[in-house]
Amino acid sequence: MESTDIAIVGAGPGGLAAAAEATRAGAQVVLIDENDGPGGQYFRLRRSGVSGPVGPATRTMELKSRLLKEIDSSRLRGLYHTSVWGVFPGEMLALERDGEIDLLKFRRLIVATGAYDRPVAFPGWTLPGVMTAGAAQALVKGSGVLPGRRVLLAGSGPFLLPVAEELAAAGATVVSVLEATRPRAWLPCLARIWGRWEQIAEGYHYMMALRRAGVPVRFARIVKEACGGDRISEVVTVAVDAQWHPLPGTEERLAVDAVGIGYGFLPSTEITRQSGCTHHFDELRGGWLPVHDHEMRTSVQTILVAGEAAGIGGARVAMLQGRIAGVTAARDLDYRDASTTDRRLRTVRAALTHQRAFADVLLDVFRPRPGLLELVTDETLICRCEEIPASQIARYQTAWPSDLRNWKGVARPGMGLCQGRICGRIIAALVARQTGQQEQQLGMPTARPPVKPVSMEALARLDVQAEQYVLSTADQMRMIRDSGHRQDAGGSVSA
Amino acid sequence: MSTLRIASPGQPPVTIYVDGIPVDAWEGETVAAALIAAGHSILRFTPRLRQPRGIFCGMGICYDCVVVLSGAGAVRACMTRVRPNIRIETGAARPGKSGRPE
Repeated sequence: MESTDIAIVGAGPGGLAAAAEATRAGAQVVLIDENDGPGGQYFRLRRSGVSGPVGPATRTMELKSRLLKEIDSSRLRGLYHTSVWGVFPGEMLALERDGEIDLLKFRRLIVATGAYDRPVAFPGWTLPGVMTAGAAQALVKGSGVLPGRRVLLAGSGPFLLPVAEELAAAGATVVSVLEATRPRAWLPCLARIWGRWEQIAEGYHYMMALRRAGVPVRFARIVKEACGGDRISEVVTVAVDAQWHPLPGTEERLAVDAVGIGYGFLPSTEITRQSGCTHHFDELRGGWLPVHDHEMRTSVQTILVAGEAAGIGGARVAMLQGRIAGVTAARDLDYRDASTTDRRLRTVRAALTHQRAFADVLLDVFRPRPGLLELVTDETLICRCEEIPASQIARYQTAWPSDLRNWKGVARPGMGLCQGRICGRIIAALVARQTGQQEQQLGMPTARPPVKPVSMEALARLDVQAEQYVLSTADQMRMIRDSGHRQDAGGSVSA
Repeated sequence: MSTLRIASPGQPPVTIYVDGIPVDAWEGETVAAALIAAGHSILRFTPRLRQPRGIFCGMGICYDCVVVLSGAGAVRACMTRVRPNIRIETGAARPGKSGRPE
């Protein structure tokens, strides 16, 4: 079993900044990411041979190479193409790579697991060709393949714009970008972003790029339904009011072969949730979030957080938080003297306050409004893994009104391979609406290992010493039993 | 070259086998991208309702794009890179009433 000073999960902006600070302070760092190299989603490497738009995208890549140069690579071990599927007592991470399981002992853990596109359920959202805006971007930028020839992008927030620019520059016909908010809703926020010229210029760049590419941007309109036989061929859009309630009679049909949906992001919090960290509910920043202090420490002494996993805030916030977490973790392990770190952290913290405030304005302006839930019909699948429609969730909730956890065990929504990452918040919103509660009153969903599927075969191959360790408590036995159930779910796919 | 593939990879394609059929693909792209470029937007039919599924999250979160990679078992097509001569089994054969491919 390998051991390290600091394990960092996630090699995006937050994780890389943490690695830079921690390695330069002298700590040994293991950086783990599911992708094949550092960068995460924000710094996604453009595939060679794929030319992309210049402008903000170019600056992003410069930022990445600067960050990589800051890392003292003699103290860094990058474990890529590697999933973290559990955190076990005794400061141990369970890893999986190409079907092989490994354990890693750490003294400090920095969780920088990032975020993913907030899933929004609507009729037809499971049809091939319907994907997240992030998926569309990853396909064209990372692999040089268009998701379709005629693509519609819809949702809310600034992320849709670079994706549209990328697709248009790559030769796709972007039939429209639908932004659910209306500019009128932005007005009260203008004063709060006055002076943020860099970000305002970035937004202006994208709007101009789309205008030049002839991509229409339409406001106060959303995707209501995706239609087609075995894949999407047509999309129904609808105008919405200020709370995003669809306005009957305003439907329009558009022929498309792909749709990218992006309503902002949700944080990946499985690791902190299963590690016993205290969480609180913050709707604006993405739901259940690990509570952290100004040094990015969670309530568990050995665990720190950085970036989107600590609350949605964008890459700039993530990098600053990563720096703080990296410095804090290294100092905890006596790699830096406190006076140097305090001086350094003061400047970083001032910058963080500035960026955090801007991020919160954007989150507020583009926050999902309640009308979105009205797109869900009885037949709409909510849990994509276990194929459970909205009507069944309503039925179970009626039958066992006070026992969400138990009926989930029976009906299995959120229990499939994605472990509720896609449907969890949608189920919570539906149940909250049905019962007249606030979403946070339903409690935080538990996250048990394995948070990513592992095979029983690989578990059985664990070396004896590690196996004894993992099996040593009844608690951990239960975790292994859970993994057996999950393997059943995996088996139904791969059989 | 497929009309969906925009890269000029500057290197010869490699062969991958999709449900036994040889398909051109390029090292560096994901299996998901190679499948989409080759016209395979359906990656599987679901076990219960037998509905088609393709790429959804594109970043390893949702597991909707799971395919079987020979020698490795079930993998996420969006997180797996193309290598020469890999064999991919999709679940894209339309299941009959029995649930078995027709």
